[in-house]
Amino acid sequence: MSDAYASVAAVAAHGIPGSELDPAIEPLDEASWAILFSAVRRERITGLLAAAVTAGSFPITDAQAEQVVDAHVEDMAGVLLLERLLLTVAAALDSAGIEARVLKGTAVAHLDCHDPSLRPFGDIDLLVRPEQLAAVGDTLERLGLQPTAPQVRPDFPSRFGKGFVLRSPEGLEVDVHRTLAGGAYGLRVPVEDLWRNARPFVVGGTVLHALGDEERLLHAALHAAVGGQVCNLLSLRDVADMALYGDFDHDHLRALARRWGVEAALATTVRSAWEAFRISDVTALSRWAERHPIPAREARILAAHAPPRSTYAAQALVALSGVDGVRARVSYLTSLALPDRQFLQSRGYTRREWLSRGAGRSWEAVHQLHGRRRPEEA
Amino acid sequence: MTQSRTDRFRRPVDALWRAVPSGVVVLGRAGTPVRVNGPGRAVWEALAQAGTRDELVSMLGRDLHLDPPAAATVVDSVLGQLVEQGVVEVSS
Repeated sequence: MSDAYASVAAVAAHGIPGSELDPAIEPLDEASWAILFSAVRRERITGLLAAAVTAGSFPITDAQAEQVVDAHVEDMAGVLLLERLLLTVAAALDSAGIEARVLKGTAVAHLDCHDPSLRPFGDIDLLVRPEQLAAVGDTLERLGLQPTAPQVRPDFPSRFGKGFVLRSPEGLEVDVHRTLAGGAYGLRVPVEDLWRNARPFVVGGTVLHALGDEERLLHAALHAAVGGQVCNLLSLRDVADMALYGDFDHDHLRALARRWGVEAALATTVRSAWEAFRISDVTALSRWAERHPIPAREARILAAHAPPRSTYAAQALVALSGVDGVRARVSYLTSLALPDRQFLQSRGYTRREWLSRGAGRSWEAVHQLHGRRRPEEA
Repeated sequence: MTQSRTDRFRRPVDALWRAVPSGVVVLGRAGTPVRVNGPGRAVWEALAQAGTRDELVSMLGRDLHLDPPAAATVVDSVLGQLVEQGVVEVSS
């Protein structure tokens, strides 16, 4: 672990009692500070840095402290604007008779952090029932939100995708989910399970509902494992907080992970969190995660979402394992190979270019995921 | 401030805000974030219950060991800011 990464990880670990990461002992010079502060902002852990500074466990200069305060206030101002949008959206969905669950950052901040100001978020994530996706899109468009991009095909989000994203005129995004993740794991999750339990919380005097405790932890693990590498320390911190302090039932969590086919993702993420924050505490979950074997097929799925193999083609290929039935698989592949014209135009491709590029990328992905080289490289 | 001495101030139940180490960030009615710094945070927290300006001055003086003129300056400044941004309800 490099010094810079260790310092950023130490910030992200602030407040975890069992973390063995050493905080800085004296203020960093300006060059080192600039690197650290940039990484802290990128990882969205400014709140944790502010808390560490306030607690006296991360010494900084007065000028650096001013930067931290300004950045934290800016993050929180953004969060409050998103919460205002959330309340508007929730009210509109409620009026339309559409039930929703609040996912990810907003729910984590209010339910899983001891202080919501430690957990910023960059968009609103909502789970809705697959059959109501179109009605949700219509409702949000009436509020002035617009889709950020055309779909592969109109029915793709409700059959194979995670959902879709809409953007408000002010540039705030609402990520509408029908399931918890894109790709193989999202396809494996039985969506009806997501509606069995709910945890209420209050935002601006309004009661909203998040997933149940076990489902929320599994979602955090899935997001950290296959949600992309943006803000990975923050995602791992979510997992660590829930795993260490969450009000979940261990047996139910594992049974749910098994039923959803996401045990490998859960085990890998818990291990990663323990390693990233050098957590010395051993819990039933961390012990299980350490011992849980990761089958080769699951390792390929996880690898398809981790750099350098995290290409669209690799993720699309491994997602096939989550599509049930030959007919559905053909439909899935056909959608990806022959998307709608609007989708292609939005990405600047002709159909011929898309097919040619897709074939090449798929070839590379197959060989990367299986650790083989192209014939001419052999 | 143009309110009378018997006016009671309270933050609305639907206020959106976050406590930060330097104070509080409150979302104004027009969507403008409002920073309430230092001792102003204690005023914001006290506004969870309705109170008059004089009650707030007394509370602030007691809790933060401020003399009455200093406490009054803080309370007037914070209330002025919050009333202007529409994030405090005023009732007679």
